[in-house]
Amino acid sequence: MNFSRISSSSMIDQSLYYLNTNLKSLSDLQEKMSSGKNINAPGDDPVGLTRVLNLTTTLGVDARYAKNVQDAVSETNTADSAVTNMVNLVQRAQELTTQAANVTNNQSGRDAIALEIDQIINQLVQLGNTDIGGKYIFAGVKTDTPPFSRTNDDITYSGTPSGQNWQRNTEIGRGVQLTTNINGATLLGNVQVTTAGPPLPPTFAAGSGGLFKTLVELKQDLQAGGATNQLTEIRNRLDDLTADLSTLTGQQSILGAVGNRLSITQSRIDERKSILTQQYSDLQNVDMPKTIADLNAQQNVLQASMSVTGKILQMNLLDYLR
Amino acid sequence: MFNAQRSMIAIQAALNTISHNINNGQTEGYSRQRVDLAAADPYTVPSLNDPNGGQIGQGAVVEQVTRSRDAYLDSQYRTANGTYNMDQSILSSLQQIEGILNEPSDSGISAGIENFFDAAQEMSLHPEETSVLTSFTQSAIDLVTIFQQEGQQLLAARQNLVGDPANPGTVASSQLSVMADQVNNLLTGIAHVNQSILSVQSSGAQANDLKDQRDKLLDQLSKLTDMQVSELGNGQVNVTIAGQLMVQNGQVKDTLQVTANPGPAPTATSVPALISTVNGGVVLNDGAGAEITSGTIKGVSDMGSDNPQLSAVQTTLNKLDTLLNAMANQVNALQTTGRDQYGNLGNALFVLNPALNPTQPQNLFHWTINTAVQSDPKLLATASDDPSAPGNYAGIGDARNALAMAKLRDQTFAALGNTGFTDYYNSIVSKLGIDTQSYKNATASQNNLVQSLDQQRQAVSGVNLDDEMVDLLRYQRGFESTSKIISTFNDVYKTIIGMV
Repeated sequence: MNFSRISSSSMIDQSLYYLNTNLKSLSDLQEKMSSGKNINAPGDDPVGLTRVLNLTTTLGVDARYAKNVQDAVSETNTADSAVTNMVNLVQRAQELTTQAANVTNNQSGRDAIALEIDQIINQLVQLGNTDIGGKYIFAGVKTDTPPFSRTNDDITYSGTPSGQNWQRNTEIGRGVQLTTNINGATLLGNVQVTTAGPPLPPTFAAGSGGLFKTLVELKQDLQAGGATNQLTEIRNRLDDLTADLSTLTGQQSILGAVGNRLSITQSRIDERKSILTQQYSDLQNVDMPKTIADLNAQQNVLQASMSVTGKILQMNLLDYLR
Repeated sequence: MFNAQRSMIAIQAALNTISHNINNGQTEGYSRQRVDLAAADPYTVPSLNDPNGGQIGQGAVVEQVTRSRDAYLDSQYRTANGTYNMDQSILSSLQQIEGILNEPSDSGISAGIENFFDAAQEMSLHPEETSVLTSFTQSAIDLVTIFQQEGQQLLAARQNLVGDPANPGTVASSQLSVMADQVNNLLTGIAHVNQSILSVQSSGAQANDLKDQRDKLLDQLSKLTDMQVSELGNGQVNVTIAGQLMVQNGQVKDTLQVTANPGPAPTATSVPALISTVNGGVVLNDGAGAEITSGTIKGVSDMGSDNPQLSAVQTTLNKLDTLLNAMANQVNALQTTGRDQYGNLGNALFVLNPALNPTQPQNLFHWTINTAVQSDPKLLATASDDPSAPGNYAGIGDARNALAMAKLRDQTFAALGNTGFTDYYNSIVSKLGIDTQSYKNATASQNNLVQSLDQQRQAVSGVNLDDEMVDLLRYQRGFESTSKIISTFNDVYKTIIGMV
């Protein structure tokens, strides 16, 4: 500003203006330090704010995916341990069947084995009704009622059939869904016996199948008395059990694959979280040492301007007249 | 000796002016005055053989008292002042909106939207748990609440600026009305001063202080609106606002008034309140024809409008309304095409109830959460409508519809210009930020300009005490010398009289 003359009031106005400007800078720095945030309002840094908002949303969404993954892990772990138990039971049944296929066994021996097979069937029904906090995990989407129920040799599955939409899906990433359950009917099958007990073979209704059918048939074969074709039947049951076992282990490997997927997703989410948190912090968290240094510098400027203002405004010609 | 006497009177006038300057050194709008001394008309002796040698000097007289003022600087200053005040008023409104939206924070709309979709995700994991269902319904209630709270605050801000057409009494107490009244008062003041100046100048004197007064009124007027000032003879000025003649000589030709905009609902109109001339009936803020383009009136009017170029109050309100409508409609579409936990087709979750706020036409204020769903969470349609299942309902574990609601977050919608909910909201906030930053810069630089122009004005019109002190000394010496002359003459006459 170049003028030929300065009036007294303009000197005062100018000093006030600059004092005010300095105070404003000081107050902005103080706001940053007290809130700890670089961006306190959209006008501070519009582009930065958009990025901060996006980062906050992404971090929130990732936290949700992490929760979903945790939930899925807990369910698949429970399912896996139930299926492992089922596998053990089937292996026991295989042992017993091999024993029963031995020609020298007498009927009382076979009856004893039939009793144990019966117990195995009960245990399998219980395992099929595994629940997590009242939610039956092998029932497809009908999770409020136990899927398997046994009346004599009828074992009914009342969950969602495997031909319908039994999958329960969870979102573990943007646009990425994972099926976290397996179908009880596929695992164990069901049985409706229209003619109870021997003579052999029992008549099963259409739709009966799977492990339960094999075991019920086996039990009935064992309980029926004597002819040589029983042995053939019992040996057939051994083949059936092998097939059923491979169904179970097949389902187990599906659970294993899901578990792997979940754990990879978990680590990716964790990695992303640390990167995003760092980005957020770079944008939004105040660099304390730098801000404190700026604050000190600004205070010095303010002090200097106040001291100069004081000196200049006091100078007056009147002091020097006479 | 008469010369001396005349000179003493002239010097006294000069001292008077100096004292006036010093006393008014800090008066706002004061222009320093200088006494122009001139030699008095000489006495010409009318004879061929003049022993005195021609004209005889008659001492000094005050020719006039001039006022140091640069009219061009004044008009530049007023233009800059108008722009500065307009920017300043827009900035302060924008900062108010920043405060209402309150981002970044974990209690604003951004957090509300996030919580809502997070609750939907949780619902897709555990549709059988009542607490999860209740939590989802609560997050919907919270979402509507935060939208409505911010909407109310924006309405209040708009009402303060330009009034609320649904409530006519508010127009009269709005800032726009108050400013129009201030303009009218200033116009009356200017006309009055014009009259006084006319009567002073027609008697041949200089109306310096009255002109200062008028300039001060014009400066104040420039803060409120842009105007044109035309100088006429006899020290009169005409004042025109947006091409409408407001003051002519000593008369106020027209005044401003503010009325509620009689047009259709506020969402379809530019400004809720119109500022117009009383006699001419010309509207000055409808975006067509004669317009006020500067000053706080323009700032306030713009910020109360729904101008899409600016993050004005009504604009922001309209955008929030669009967003909530989109969310509510999309969620409802899923709710009504899904199955609730009784196996029936679901009911809408978001319900419009105009009775909640009958004076406001926007849906934003009418959304509420279905009370039946609030009392019975099992009415939430978490399952999808499945033709392959008996009764189209697959079971309580079917959470496909809940998942679909959660995935709304990742979709884009034509109603929002093909962006998603979060992006749409973020663009509202970032536009606000950009506007605020740009007006911060504009205000700061315009302030510099105004300061600089004022400094230049002060350079011409300002009183420098040291200057006046020096002049005081000068005239004091003059006065002492003149007094000495008078006393010398006195001695001369005494001697002559003593001789007789």
